[in-house]
Amino acid sequence: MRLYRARLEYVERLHPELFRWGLAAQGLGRDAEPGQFYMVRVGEGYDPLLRRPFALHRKGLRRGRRGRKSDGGEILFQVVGRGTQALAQKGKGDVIDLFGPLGRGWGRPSGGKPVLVAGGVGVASLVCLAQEMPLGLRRGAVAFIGAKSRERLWCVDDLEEMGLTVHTSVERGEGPFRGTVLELLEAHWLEIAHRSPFLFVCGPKAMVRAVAQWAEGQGVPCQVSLESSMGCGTGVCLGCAVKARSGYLRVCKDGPVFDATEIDWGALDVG
Amino acid sequence: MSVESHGPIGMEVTLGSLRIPNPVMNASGTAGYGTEGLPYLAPEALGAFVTKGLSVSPRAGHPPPRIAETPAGMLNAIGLENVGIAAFAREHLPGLRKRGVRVIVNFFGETEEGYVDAARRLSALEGVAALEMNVSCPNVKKGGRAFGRDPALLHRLVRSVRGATALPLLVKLTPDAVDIVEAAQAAWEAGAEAVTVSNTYMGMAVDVEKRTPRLSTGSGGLSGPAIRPLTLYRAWLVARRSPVPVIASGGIASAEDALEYLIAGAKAVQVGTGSFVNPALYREVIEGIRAYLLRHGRAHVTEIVGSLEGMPDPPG
Repeated sequence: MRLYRARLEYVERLHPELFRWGLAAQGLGRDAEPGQFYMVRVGEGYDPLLRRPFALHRKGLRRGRRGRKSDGGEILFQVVGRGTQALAQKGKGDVIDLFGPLGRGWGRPSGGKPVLVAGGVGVASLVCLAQEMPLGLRRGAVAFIGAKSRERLWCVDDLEEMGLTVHTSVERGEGPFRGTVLELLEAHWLEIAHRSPFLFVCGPKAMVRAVAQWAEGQGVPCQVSLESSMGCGTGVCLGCAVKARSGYLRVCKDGPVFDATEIDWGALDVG
Repeated sequence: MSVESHGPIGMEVTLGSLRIPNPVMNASGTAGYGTEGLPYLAPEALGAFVTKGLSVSPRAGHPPPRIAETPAGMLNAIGLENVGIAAFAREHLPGLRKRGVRVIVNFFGETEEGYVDAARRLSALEGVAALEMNVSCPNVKKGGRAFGRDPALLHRLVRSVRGATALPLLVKLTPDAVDIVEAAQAAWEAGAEAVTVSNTYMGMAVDVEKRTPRLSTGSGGLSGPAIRPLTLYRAWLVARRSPVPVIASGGIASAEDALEYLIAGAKAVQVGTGSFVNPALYREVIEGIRAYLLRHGRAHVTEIVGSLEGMPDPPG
């Protein structure tokens, strides 16, 4: 973990509410594992006070977009409140204060078929997971991405370019599949079930819970990345507790990636 | 951090029988047990390291949500989650001793007997420099803040703990006491060697869309830059009206903030929530105080403690 003052090399607005940043700083991203996150300071002042946690979206900067510094990475964020609203105002060349990488990332896939399941902006760290997978594993991987509507299906092309098979679902409006991402996954399950699948899930809490409980019922190994507002990001303030079957765990230090069987899903507040 | 080499500037301070090489500590509960390997926290470089509040038995803490951001501040309702004294002694204290950290253990009980029991157990451990009694946590129903708000109860509790330990004894007060000077004086007369002014302020926040509280417990403790003027006033009042040495804690986010407290009369300071925003804050505060002393031609930090000029007497 290190403090960085990174240069914002590029900003892509993928949707009125969704931003992708390319950040450059010496050493940034080099030591990060997919699923780990950075604590980003919102401004120079103290209101909003706390840093915002964002998962590493991609290691390195995109081809043709890197500046003089070659180290860096991307984050993907959705505007949901005052902090992200302030961050959405930042532009190319701004200096961003962040520290990381933090937490426990995605466990290494050891064989079989990786199945990525994302809801909305939850796709952020799954792109990094796919990027870092060995080529053979990645080509056999499949991603299920769900969103409320078609214009909120993010990063489909990124995953396809990496060689994954991508299926999408929308909850309303036009789309190839109308329903939840779990319904989409179930619709394709027969194609996958016999290939030793293991699930990597990230998205809104209710969606993550539904997929995790379903996976447990199927006896399929499943990792989940949980989100939480955080105080310190380093495991000392105990502000981001989540109820596990063994007691409280810290999303920032014991997670954000958990084995789905660790979590007490009945106690999870899905807001 | 190089606080061992003082150069021409003296930074050591004494708080009763506790002597520390510089006046900067962390606030309990904002830096864990000191062994989490935070790269910007060298606990041995602090005047003293203050542990997360410990009780005899481990505590699970409150359900989430445990924190809520407020203007220039945050509310917390952690619920005194801790590993218990035995696990601390086994898993964390040896590492702190090895690094030569001056360890202040923050502790609490649910009853008077619980406080005494905790103090006895902690006094039997090798490597504890002092105890900080928490009589001010807003997040537990039993004990804690109830003691801190009633000077007579507080006097009795501190006297009992004083009888159970030979270690330097600090008492962390609640800012929500009816009269914090009376509380400080009661602790002092019962044998406390210093008081920490202060813990968080009871507060709350509401999610207006859901019409529900933003903390699982409804209310919790407010910390951060938002509280600094409030705590500065209390630290000044106690320093002015009582002979008890004051350790100030509340909203420090820069060396200048720490200097405000020292000038107002605090002999030492604690850095808490500000370190979440700026992990390098401890070092910046220590170095910033030293730079200030150098700039103002002062040889020792104690020369500026209580050096506030032009301040009228407190009302009442």
